[in-house]
Amino acid sequence: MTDPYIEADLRQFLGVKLGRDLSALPSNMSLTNSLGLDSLAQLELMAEIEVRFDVYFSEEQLNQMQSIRSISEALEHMAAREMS
Amino acid sequence: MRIGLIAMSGVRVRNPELVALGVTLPQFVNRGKVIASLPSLGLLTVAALTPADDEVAYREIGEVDPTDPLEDFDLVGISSFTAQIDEAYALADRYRGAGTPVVLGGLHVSSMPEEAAAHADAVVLDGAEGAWPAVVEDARRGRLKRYYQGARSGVFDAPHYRMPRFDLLRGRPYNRMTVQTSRGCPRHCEFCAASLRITDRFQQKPVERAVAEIEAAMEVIDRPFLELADDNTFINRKWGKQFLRAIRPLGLRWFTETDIGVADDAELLRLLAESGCKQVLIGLESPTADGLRGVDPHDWKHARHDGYLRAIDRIQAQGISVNGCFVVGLDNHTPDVFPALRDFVRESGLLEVQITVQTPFPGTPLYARLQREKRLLQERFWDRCTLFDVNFRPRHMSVETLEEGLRWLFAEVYREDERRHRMRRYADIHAERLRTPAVLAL
Repeated sequence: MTDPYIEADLRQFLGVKLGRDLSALPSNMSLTNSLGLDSLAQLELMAEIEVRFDVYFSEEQLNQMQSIRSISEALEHMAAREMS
Repeated sequence: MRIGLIAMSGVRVRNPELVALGVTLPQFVNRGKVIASLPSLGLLTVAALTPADDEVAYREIGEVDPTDPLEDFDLVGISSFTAQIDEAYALADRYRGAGTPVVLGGLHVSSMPEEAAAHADAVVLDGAEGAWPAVVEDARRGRLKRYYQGARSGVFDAPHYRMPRFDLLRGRPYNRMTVQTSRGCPRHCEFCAASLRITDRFQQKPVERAVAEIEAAMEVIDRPFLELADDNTFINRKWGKQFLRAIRPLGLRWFTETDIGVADDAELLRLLAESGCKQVLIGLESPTADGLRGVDPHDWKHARHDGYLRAIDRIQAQGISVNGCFVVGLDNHTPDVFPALRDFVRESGLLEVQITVQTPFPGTPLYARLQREKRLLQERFWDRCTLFDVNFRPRHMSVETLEEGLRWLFAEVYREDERRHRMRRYADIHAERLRTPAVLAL
């Protein structure tokens, strides 16, 4: 279970960026498949998340994270690492 | 009359090892999926040139099952590229055997009209504008002529111009759309088999007509990714900037092909980015300058080579990814070209890469020269004109070396870790751009 605040923050950010209401989007659904994003749009979105949340994803994370859940978990993990 | 227009589509590779590689290489497969998912703009234009009283049905070849009875039409029009031409001929023969007249057109047919005429009641040369209305009237009277000559100029103006019938695509699962804003390209690369072969000179569609077509396409397909069907969209920079300003309000995401010269114009790049252009395909052709000698009549690309890396940086820094297209097996290429290309791709930061092998399409100066030099491997090799199969004897290596080199390059460049590295690097560029004050202020 991810931190609800991180996930909510991410949902709101993605909703503004994509111009859609993502409040009901299941957290484990692929953004590419569910929102019809092409691979370039997905990559740009990940870069925007990096800037917004001041994080840096590895090459593997950039390629593998497809859902709100997986991205939220990575953000939560990075936040925890920074605080420790 | 009920007229069936059948589009041949798809990217096919004959080399079994490349086919095997292609199954597991995301970017090659992705590009193939993209090309195969575009409708045939040529046939949508043919439909628009058909009199309103006649019914037109648009079909993709994938909808025509060879085991099913043929769909009933009074006239069939088929357009095909070279690699699918034998399938087009086979379908034409089937329809003609059933008593339905068939008209063939497209780039290959325009290059090989006599060959095509053996499989058709009529052949249209150089595009449907200026020809198709007469084809339909003659078909109605049962008096089709052997050949019809399309217009090689003035195709975007009255009396020839018609807006393509995008409405025929309503309800079909396309997520990409294509519009043509120009025909031809003044670079005249020796191997080019695109629209420059069917036009006397570079032709530009008026901005308002191009925008109207885009808007019409957007009414049919929800949020389409737009691909311009041009050889080189920004030859005319003044036109280009007007066009970019005009489409900026449409909120598009789009792609086109152009040349490296766009990187010289900062205003053009800014307008490109602001209009929603997300990728440009640029024919870089060779990682080495020497490989570019003789590619075009004025060695224009050769003169640009030293600036390739800086140009790619300038374009991508604007948030426009570059799909760098390379051709291996050019006459000045030695086996060193394969590691050189791998290294160039790594150094360049190109987000996407398209690697093809020099292909002598019929009707091109390359084909004519290789035929004169007796370097074509076969007299007829149309199903191997895939851009990935070798059809000629290279100058500085064997056929086997070129084939092995291409396989090696595919495996190297499209390896998962290389692909991820390119993605990470492009994300870095995009993030850096987002952090600049001008972008943060938006």
